[in-house]
Amino acid sequence: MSKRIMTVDDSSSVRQMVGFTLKDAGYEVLEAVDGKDALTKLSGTVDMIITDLNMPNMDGIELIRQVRSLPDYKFIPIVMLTTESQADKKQAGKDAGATGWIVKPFKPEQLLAVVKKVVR
Amino acid sequence: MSDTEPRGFEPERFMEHARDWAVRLESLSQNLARVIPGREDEFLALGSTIQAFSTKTREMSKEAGALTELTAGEEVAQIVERLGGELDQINQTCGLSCREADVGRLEKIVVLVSSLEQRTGSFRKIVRSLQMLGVTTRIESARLGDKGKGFMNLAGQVDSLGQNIIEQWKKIEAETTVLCEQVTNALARTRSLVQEQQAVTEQAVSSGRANLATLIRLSEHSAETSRTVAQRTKDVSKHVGSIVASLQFHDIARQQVEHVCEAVEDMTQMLVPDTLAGGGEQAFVRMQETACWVADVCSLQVSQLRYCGNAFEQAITTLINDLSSIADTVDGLNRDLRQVLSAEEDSSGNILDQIQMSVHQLIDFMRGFSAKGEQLATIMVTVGETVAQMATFVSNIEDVGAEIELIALNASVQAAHTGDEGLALGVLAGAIQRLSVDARTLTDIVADELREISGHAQELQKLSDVSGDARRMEQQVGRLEEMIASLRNLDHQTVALLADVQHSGDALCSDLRAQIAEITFHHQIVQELNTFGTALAEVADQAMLQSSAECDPARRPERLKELLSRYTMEAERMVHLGTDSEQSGGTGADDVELFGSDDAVELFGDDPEIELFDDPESPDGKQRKEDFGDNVELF
Repeated sequence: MSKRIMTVDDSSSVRQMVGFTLKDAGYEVLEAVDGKDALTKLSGTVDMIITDLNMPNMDGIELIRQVRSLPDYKFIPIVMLTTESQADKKQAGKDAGATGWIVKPFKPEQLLAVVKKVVR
Repeated sequence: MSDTEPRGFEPERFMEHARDWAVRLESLSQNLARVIPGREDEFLALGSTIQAFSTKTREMSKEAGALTELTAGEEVAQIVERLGGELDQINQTCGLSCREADVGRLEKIVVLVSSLEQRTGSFRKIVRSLQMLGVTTRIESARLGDKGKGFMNLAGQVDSLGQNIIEQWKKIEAETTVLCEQVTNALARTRSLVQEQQAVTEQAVSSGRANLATLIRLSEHSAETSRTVAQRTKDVSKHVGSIVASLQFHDIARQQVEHVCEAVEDMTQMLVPDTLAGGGEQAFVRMQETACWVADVCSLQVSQLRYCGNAFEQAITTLINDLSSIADTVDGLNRDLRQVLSAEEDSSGNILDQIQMSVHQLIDFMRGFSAKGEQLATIMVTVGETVAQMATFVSNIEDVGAEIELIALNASVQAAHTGDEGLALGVLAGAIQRLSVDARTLTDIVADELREISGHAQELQKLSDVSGDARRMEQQVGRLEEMIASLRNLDHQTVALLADVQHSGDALCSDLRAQIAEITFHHQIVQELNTFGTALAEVADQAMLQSSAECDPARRPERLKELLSRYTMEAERMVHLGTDSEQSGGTGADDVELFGSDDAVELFGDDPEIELFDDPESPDGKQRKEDFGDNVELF
């Protein structure tokens, strides 16, 4: 059974690109346009969340905090995928419970390497 | 310069300028915000098309993989090996039917027949001795007068038996001549068959082996080509994957433009009359500082837009170049495939045809050979019959020999009754008896030789039946044809797969070229960004005129620092710092290398160095280098 990964980004082109990369590698992909949408759609087995940082309604940091408060998803790997590369932002993500941080632009194989590393 | 254009700080007209800037900046911000999102659908469509390309190249790669499996797989090797084995067996079967042993047997018969002919002299000698003894017996009988009368009868019998032997032997001689002709004829035919069989078998087997070797070479070449095709399609597939990554530049450009819009909007808020109205020195300073701020921010946003436009254009140009490169690769691949297809159609099929033809020539020959073998069997039957007839004559001679012995015994008895006068006749009787022994010995030899000839003839008759070999060979040919059919099937599959890959490549190449021609939106985006940049630059220039030379440059970094904190991207910060530095006499924004030193936009950087990560599996919590790239960090 393929692993389910949720990708959260307000950019359709990024969701498209991430979705294609993951589906191509055999993963099942759930899409959400922001943190709020992600929380609504988060149900059943989800093996990993890849989220943008800056999004309307709910940003990536808040999404991580909310997800970490849910018992079923407390330990789910959450990787930030963002254009932000500042250390304070990374620290904020790490403090909120992010598993990793990928700065855009990125190569599909980089994303897959990280996914393979964190999804068990 | 017209009279209406400002020539320096105009406090009395500053509010008018500020309103004008605010109106222009507000409008600019609203319109600029729509530039990138307005093209999102086109970008998504491009993304979908590139994904479709990726899927197609992956399918091509799979087809090429199947091709490799087919041409370099075990199946071909096994069939070719079995084909070689069958050719060996056919060679062996032909060897079994080889008439060399028959030739040897026939040559032995010839020697035996020749020996029979030589026996004629021996029989003549016996007959002559008998005739001499008959004459001597008559003379002696006449000398004895009445006492020797009985011996006259004996002499007549001896003559008669000698005559009998001559008659029988003449028959044997005649049959020997026939036998000699038969055997000589059979020997010549068999020798001719042996030569023909050897020639045909050698030709068929050696031609089969040569074709088989060519087939192996073709198979290896085909496998090599398939591997190259597979590797090239794999490379194309990977290349498409990297193109997919460039689709991120829509999002990156969108964010950069959003940040420009935010900066412009904030600036517009500063230009509200309430905050700037008033008179006096302080108000003038505030106005000039505001103008200075507007000039700085606008100049910075011009750089941001210029950088954003350049990076976006270069990203799309790189994408187009990559697509063109893939199209060229696929084009080259298709040219190779066309050559391979043409070679495949000309070679493999022909080789298989030739192998099949050689084998059929061989089986046709074996069928003809079988008929010729039957002819030889018929000759051998006749040889057997002749020998049997000769055996009868020999038996008759043996009977004559027995009679001679009996006569000789009677003569001995009569000579004993005659007393001393019959002594000479007794000697003659003894001589006749010895001759009978000689005759028996000779007939035994002849009979043995005839038996030997008969044995050889029977064996030859048996061996002349080569139908078993022909049947065995037909079975082998059946198996061989099955293998050839399998190879033909594999060959057809290979050609079909090559054609599939070529068709996929043609379709992909055509789609790629069409897609490349359709990608024009980036020029429009860049043009629009440039237009907005020009408009911002105009505002910056005007604001600069209204700013004072006494405007404290030392405060500018402080103000711009706040603006710097708004940027989320490293590239934006570098442009900002570059522009700031330029305004302070440092490096210009255009000199800032955001993605490496190459003229083209470097999307991911080509530094192979590995980023350090906190590896949760590392017991000491030390960062470990892993090959994720320098833009990835795992906590």
